[in-house]
Formats: sequence, structure tokens, C-alpha cells
Amino acid sequence: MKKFRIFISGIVILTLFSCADTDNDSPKDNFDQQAMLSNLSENIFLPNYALLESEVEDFILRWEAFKRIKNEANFIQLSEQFKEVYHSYQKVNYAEFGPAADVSLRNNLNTFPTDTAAIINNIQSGNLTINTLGSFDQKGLPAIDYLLFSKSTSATVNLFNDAKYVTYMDTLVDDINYRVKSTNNSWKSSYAGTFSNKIGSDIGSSIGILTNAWNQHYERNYRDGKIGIPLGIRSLGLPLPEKAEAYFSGISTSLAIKNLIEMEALYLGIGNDGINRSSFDDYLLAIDAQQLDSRIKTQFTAAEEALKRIESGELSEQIKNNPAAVESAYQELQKLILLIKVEMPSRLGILITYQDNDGD
Amino acid sequence: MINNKHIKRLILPAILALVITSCEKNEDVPQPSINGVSTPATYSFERNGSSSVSYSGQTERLDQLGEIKSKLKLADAGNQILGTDLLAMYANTNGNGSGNFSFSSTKQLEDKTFSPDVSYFQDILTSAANASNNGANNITAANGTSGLLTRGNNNTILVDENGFEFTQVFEKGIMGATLFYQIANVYTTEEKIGPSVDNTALVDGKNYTKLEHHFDEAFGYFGAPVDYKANYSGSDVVRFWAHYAKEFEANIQLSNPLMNAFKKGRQAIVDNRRDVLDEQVQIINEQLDRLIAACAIHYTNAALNASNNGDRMHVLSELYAFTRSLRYSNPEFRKYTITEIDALVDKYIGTNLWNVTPNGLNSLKDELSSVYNWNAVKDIL
Repeated sequence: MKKFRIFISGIVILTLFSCADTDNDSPKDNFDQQAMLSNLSENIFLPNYALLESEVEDFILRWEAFKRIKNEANFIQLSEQFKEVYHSYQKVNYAEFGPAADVSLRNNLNTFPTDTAAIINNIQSGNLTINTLGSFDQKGLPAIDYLLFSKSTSATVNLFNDAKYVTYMDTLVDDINYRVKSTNNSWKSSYAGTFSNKIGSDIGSSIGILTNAWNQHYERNYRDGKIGIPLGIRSLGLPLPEKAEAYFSGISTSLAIKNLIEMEALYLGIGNDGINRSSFDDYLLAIDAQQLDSRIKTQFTAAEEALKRIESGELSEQIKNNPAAVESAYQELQKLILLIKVEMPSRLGILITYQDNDGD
Repeated sequence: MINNKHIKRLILPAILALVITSCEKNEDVPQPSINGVSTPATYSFERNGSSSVSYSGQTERLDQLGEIKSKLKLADAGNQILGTDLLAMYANTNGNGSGNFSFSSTKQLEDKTFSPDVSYFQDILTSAANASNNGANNITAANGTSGLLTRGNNNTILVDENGFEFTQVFEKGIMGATLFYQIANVYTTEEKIGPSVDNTALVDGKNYTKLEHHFDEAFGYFGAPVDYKANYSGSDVVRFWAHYAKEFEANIQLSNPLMNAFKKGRQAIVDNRRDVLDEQVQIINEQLDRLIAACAIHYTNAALNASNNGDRMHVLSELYAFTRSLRYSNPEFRKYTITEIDALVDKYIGTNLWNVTPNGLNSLKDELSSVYNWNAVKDIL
């Protein structure tokens, strides 16, 4: 009977393989995909976008308060709330598809390093046109990071006595608010339903789209953007610490850890209420891939621990003074890629098809 | 109680049958079809023991386009180039582009370009040569200034004062206005392959009928080796439109549909099956349209994700030229008229690439994705 099973699965694999260009049936299983997608939608994406929106609104309130009374106490409230916004953005940044992709949420909110010279130039010349492709690096959270944290508290408070700075900050805040609201509203009004109902593992299925978006984020924006590039991975080992995320406020490592925990929560299906429901791990268990599931969980833990070893002090300092520890964290992040980009999609019958920019 | 052995006997043949039938389209062997016209394994057809296929004129034009691109790339690298050279290559003056081509030919790209657009392409070539002066003086391009931009891979590109990269706008433009135009509006039309075109007598001194040859010329403009197919691993170079079908194969499976339509269409001509030929012509036109739209969608994503001006202007130039190429669709099969495509380009891309907005690109992507049915892959293309 065992031989027979092997033979059958051999044929099934052959069938899938030889027909790979016409359809990509998911592995035959009894896993309830719709339950997984509904869980991710109801308990992760919807609450995460709602949280980001409310953190942004809170930031606006504090910005308004600071504008009325420009003192250090109000500034500290403002800058602390900025960090909350940046952390809550780490809960949604891996989901750049659907409504988020429609407003290019990631590029508009978090293109770093930010172009400080261009920002100053915009402020001085009164250029508030920051909606072109070339202005991604003059706006969003990194631009605010620069405006709020590049000088001492007293100097920054004083800076905003110049109306031009206030106007530019208003423009930045409005743009973030508009894009976050638009994303959240689209998820609430229609996309949550669309997402939950597109089952299957074909290109265009929700699991396919999510897995592609998650991996693209993990590889390019997370591993490279947050750690690899500042460490010098793309510059022949020459460190570029000034390219770190949130370079001026120095919360880079904290954001990286937060982001990894959120991606782990996605994998496990843990909602904002802390309850573990159906997600990728359960899917792997349902198709008898316990080993892979446990290797993924172990690697998430190893990567988190490696990041926590560089948590004290700013990332840019760690890169200068403790490069071996940063390098080791990078290596642990690298190991996770093999598991979530190659092994998991292959077991679940998902094709990784996102394309990087061509080089011709 | 049913015995397991019985199940095996029933299931195995059923599975095997499923394997065989479900994969029929992908097998690399001649395929009989319900309507009696087979799809050959490769684009190879014979009469009396020798090949009846000929499209050397198209191959020469594709080679010419490749060499014009190489010339333009000299300017991308910061060298001065001459407008007279470029124009002579486009018109193939003296049979060798006034000495600029590495080979002689009686064919040219210019007289096969959609005629109202010839001056548009001549202007690009002249402007490229003029701007190469700025490039040779190492002037960095900016909004309002032509010159060089450095890409992420450290290569430079030459762009005009509005950010358009000459090399891309010309090459991808000719892919539309000449290669695609000739397939869609010349060689797959009534005039060239309709019922009145001779499919009996051999052309004087040749081994093909007029009808066969015209269809071969359409295939020649596609840029595929005769044995091209999905996941192609052969050694022949896959060029231009076929290259893009290959490039995006992971997300849009058009290599086999297009190749099969060319092969089956040609077989239908041999078999005198007008009905089957018409079906294949429709597939070729509709799927080439979708391929071009997919190229445009890909480059909206690339533009949204570009991280420096060089890469951004490079991919925006490709986006512009591919979107504009949709102008040359056959009116019988197209989704947009020429005026509508021009309006689309104007609305979402505009005349100055430095001013393109993410909102514009996202709107363009959404529109093309719905119209050409690429919604499922629009964000990953």
C-alpha cells in the first residue's frame, strides 16, 4: 500500500509539474483556507490598519498642540508619539498589496535614507509638490524623523518658529494621513471580503499575493533595507550606517525587532488580541510539514535573539563598534529567507513570482 | 467492501489518462486537434524535403534594430554620436546604413514603420545625437536639462530635458511601431493572408506560396527561435517581443499560447483551413496586445520601486514606450484607439518624466490591468 501511495503522489507531482504553466493547484488537503484568510483579515490586517490610523490621528493631535504652544513639553509628547506611529507601521509594512499598493503606501511613508538636502531646499523654496516619484525621499516618516530628531530638542523647538518648517510638516502629515486613511477605508469597505474569498494558491490567490508581498518586503525592505545595506552588504563591506531606518531618532533596531515579531505573528496567525488562530503554521501542519513548521519557528526565535543582542544603543553605533554582532543578526535573518521564500511556498504550491527591477 | 486492488485497477488508468490529457498542450510533440489541424513541435515546415519557411528579411531588420541600439548605447556611455549616422541606419542608406551596420541588406526599418510616425522616430535619433554633446561633456541631466544619469548598476544613460532615455524610447518604440505594427496591421491582415492571396502556386524560384511567406514574415517579427516555448532552454537568442514573453513567464504564461498560435496558424495554411487560421490570427493579435500591456504594468511597478533618478527615468522611458506601443493594435482586436492611447499616456505619464506621480502610475496600472485582464498579477509583475 505504501508503494502505491508513493506512486500516486509521484504521478500527482508529475501532473502538477508538467502543467505548471497552466494552473497551480494547491496540494490536495483538507485545510480550510478561507478560515485562515478570514482570520488574517479580521484579526490582523483590519485591526493593524485601524491602529496605524489612530496612531497617526494621535500624532496629528499632538502636532496641533505643539503648533499652538511650541514648548519642550509638547515637543516631547509629539516626538514620543512619532515613535508610536513608526512602530505601528511595522505591523502593516509587509502587506504592500491591494489597497496599500494602490496608494504606494510603503514608498510614500517609508523611503529611506531621506534626502535631507532636498528637504531643506523644499522648505526654503516653499516647494510643497511632494507627489512625484522623485520625492519619495523627501517625505513620509523618514522626513519627519529628520525634522524632529536631527537637532537638539531646544534647537528643534526653535526651528518650528519658522513658518516654512510648519508648512512643510503640515504637508508631510496630511500626505501620511490621507494614504493611511485611504488604505484602511478600502480594507474596511471591500478589500477584507475580497481577500478572504480568493482561496487557492494560484497566482492571484490571496495566499499567493500575500506570500509574494511578504517575501518581497522581507528580502528587499527588511533584510537589506533595515540591516544589510547599513551594514555594508551591498557596498563591498563598506558600512553605510547613515542609511539605516529612523537614523535620526535612532530607533532602527527597535523597529526591526518589532517588524520581525509582527511577521512572526502573521506566520502564526496571532491577532492583536493575542489569540493564536489559523495561519501559515497551521497550513503546514495540515499537510504534514511539521518539521518545516518547527524549523521556521526556531529560526524566527534565533533571528529575534540575534537582533536583541544589538538592541542596546543605536544601530548606526552598533555597526561601527560591534559589527560582528550585526553581521550575525544579518546571517540569522538570511537563514529565514530559505525557509519562507523557498521551502514553505514549495510545500504549499505557491509560486514566488515577484520581479525585481531589471538591469538591462 | 471494495478491495483495494480493484481501486488500484480503476484509479491508475484514470490518473494516467488525466496526466496525458491535462498536459496535452505542453507536450513537445505534434498535437492532433479536434478540428484536424495539428500544432507542430517547432515552427518548421517542409515541401519536397526542404524548408518552406523564410523570414530572413525580418531577421535582418531585428539585427538592424539591435545595432542601432548599440550605437545609442555609445551615447549612454558618454560618447558623442552623429545624427547622420543614426538616420542612415534607420533608413539603411546604401544597404549598410552608410557603413554603420556590420552587414549588408536590402531591407530597412524606416519604410516598415507606421508611416505617420516615421518623423517621430527620426526626431528621437536627431535629438539623441544633439544631447550626446551634453553627455560627452559629462553634464548631469535634471528637469529641463538633457544629459547623463547614473543607474543603480553604475551604468549611465542619456536622457532628454524631460527625462526620456533615447535608447529605450527608440528601441521599444520601434518594437511597437514597426515589429508589432507589421504583425498586427500588415502580415496578419486580409491583404496579406486573406482568401484572395495565392496559396497554391509557388513564388518564382522559391519553395513557398505567397500566403505561407506572408505568415512567416509575421512570425519573423516576433523574435522567437523556431523551437521557442515556455521555459525555453535552447541556445538560440530570444529577442524583442518573444524576449518579454520569456522574461515575464512566471507571471503571465503567454509563450506557449503565442508560439502555438503561430505554429498552428502556419499548419492551417498548409492544410488550407481558413477557419483555423482565422482563430490563430485572433489569438496572436489579442495575446500580443496583452503582452504589451503586461510590459507596461511591469514598468509601472518598476518605476514605483526605483530608488534613484537613473533607474527611474530608465524604467519610466520603457513604460512610456510600451504603453504607446498599444497604439499599433489591429482595429479589429484592439481595446483602445490611437487617440485613446495617446490620451492615456498624456493623462497618466505626461510629457515630462520628472513630474510623473505615483497616483498617475497606480491609476494607469489599474486601468491596463482591468482592460487586459491582468488584475491577478498587477502588483507582482
